[in-house]
Amino acid sequence: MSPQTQAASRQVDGPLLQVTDLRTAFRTDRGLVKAVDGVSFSLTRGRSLGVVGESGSGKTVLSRSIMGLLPKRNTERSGSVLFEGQEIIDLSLSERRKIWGREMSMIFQDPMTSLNPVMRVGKQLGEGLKIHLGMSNDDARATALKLLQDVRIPEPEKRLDQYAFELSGGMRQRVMIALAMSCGPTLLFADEPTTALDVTVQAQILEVINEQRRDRNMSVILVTHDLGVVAGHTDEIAVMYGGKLVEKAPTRVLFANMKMPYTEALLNSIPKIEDPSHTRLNVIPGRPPDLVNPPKGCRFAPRCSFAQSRCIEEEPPLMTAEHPEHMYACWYPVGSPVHRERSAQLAEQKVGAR
Amino acid sequence: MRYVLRKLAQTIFVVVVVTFLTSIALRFLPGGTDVIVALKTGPGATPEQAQAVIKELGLDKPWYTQYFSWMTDFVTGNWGNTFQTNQSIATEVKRALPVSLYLMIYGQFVALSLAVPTAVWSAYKQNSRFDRAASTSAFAMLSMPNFIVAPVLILLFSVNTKFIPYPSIYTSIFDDPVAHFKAFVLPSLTIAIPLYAGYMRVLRADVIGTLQNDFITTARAKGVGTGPLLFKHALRPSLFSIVTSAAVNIGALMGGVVIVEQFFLLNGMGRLTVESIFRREYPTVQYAVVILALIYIFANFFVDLAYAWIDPRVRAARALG
Repeated sequence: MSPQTQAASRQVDGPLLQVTDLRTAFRTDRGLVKAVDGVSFSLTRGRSLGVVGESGSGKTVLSRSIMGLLPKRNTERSGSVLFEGQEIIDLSLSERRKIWGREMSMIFQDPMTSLNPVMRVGKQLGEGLKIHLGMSNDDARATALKLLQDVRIPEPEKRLDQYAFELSGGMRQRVMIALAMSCGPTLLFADEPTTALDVTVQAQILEVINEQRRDRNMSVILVTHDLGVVAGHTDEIAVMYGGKLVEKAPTRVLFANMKMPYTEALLNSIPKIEDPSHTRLNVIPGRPPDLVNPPKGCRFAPRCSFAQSRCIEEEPPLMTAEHPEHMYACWYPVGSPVHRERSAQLAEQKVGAR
Repeated sequence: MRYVLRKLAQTIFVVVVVTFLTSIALRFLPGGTDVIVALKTGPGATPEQAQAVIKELGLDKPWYTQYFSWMTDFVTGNWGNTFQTNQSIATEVKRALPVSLYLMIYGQFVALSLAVPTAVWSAYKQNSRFDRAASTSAFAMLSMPNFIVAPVLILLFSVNTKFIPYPSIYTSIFDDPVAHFKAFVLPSLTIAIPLYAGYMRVLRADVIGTLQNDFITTARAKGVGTGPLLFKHALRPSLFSIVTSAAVNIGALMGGVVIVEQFFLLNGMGRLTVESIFRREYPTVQYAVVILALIYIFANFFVDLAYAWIDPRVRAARALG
């Protein structure tokens, strides 16, 4: 069976991935850093989920924690990760290794550093094929060529015998995608796949990922800090803040009706093309919360323009919005009376300040 | 290929400089030619005898002619005889050279082949019990000079237990391999112990650095097993420092060999050189020094080639530059 059809032919009922109350903390000298603090969600086969948040929101740790890629030492992990109905959180390293590359794989942020500098591209591509599918050297090379063609690298034949440093950033990321695709995984994690790339190349790379997802009926978890990136390329969006999921909705629903002031602030921090040049960029003031001693109430409250005393005292649970798949964790969401009143005040102040 | 040629050209240049400086060194001896004549003929030489000696050593010719005749003699093996014992210098060097070469090669080989797996595993299991034991023992070995290690080894294996005969008698590996290795095991260990410690520490640090790299996570995420992860992915990019220190150590070893040969009474280049210096056998010193220098120069040439093998970026960058 070719690796291309493998993912499509496997059919299991229920969600592909079911994460329940996943917690991941790192032991440090300062104390326990709770990078992922009770995250739950599920993902259907073939769908794509965007995980959005600032640096330090725990989004990268979340994806690595689901995959089981974090070093065991000084890491505490609990909760449940069901993959195709199987619990994978307590698998041993050798059991996880059978899943890595074959069932789930990952594309990393910086294609400059995530390819082995001293191994030819073809050999790196073939490695997984030989491990998981028991291919011979010749078969692995032929398949590697096919993979490079799939991600539309120019002159794929030549690339097989080149080293990573001989390729451009965009080509390297295409190689990374080909690498992640090589054994036909059912779930792909893309950890900031375009952050280190030229803006003109970003769209191409996202398109290649999407194309592969459709062709292979694969699920994608796209981790990024850029709401603009996920807007056009995901079915659902999960917003993370301080190690927690604070809002989750189908992409269209979220953009039409976002509830969390944090999500709104993230969106506002994207510069708009119609603004005159030299417009001051909208920033979210303050810093992400200390994950050793997180705030008692809502973790975003100290930075939130709309925070009330309740926000500081009491942590909001995930609540369901009008749309059944739309969840948010906020006492005074966008559109609520308190929020509306405060926005009006803020707008006045802004006018007054001028 | 251009990289190799460039390195070769550099190497040849250094060889010319070294041989030239050695060839004219006799001219700068304190006391001038009189001392040399006296050494060769004993006191009270006739002017004719003195003239013959000066002619034989090429000191009557200008320095450039002397260089060429010296080089011709050197390449053809026509090295003349020692001053005092009238032995063929070429025979002496030919006898001493393999002893030292074996000693240096075995020492390096033992040190490297123990250091690489230990260092890689220590780095992978950083701060584990294994790592702490390996690092601490390496530190201890590093602080043991070879003039302490050698007598301790002799005491343990030759005096107390009589496993290994002392002194070490050089036997050709082709005549009697067992006797050959018996002769070399303790001297090689003496050389290898501090080398091992240095290599182990250098490589451990580099592998720890390499393991932080993203491409290691990529390989992990591909499902690569721990063994291949360490030895196929992590080791090669970590080799720079250890290869460099191995090359530098070739030079340091030439000094170390003197002491070790002395302890085990092996007649190698180190002993030959030192004794020739004490006996003022200047031509013997000249040839011994040139031979050691050539070994060092060519070893470093191969190390440069090794860099290019380790990292293809070196090949690309240096071929252009």
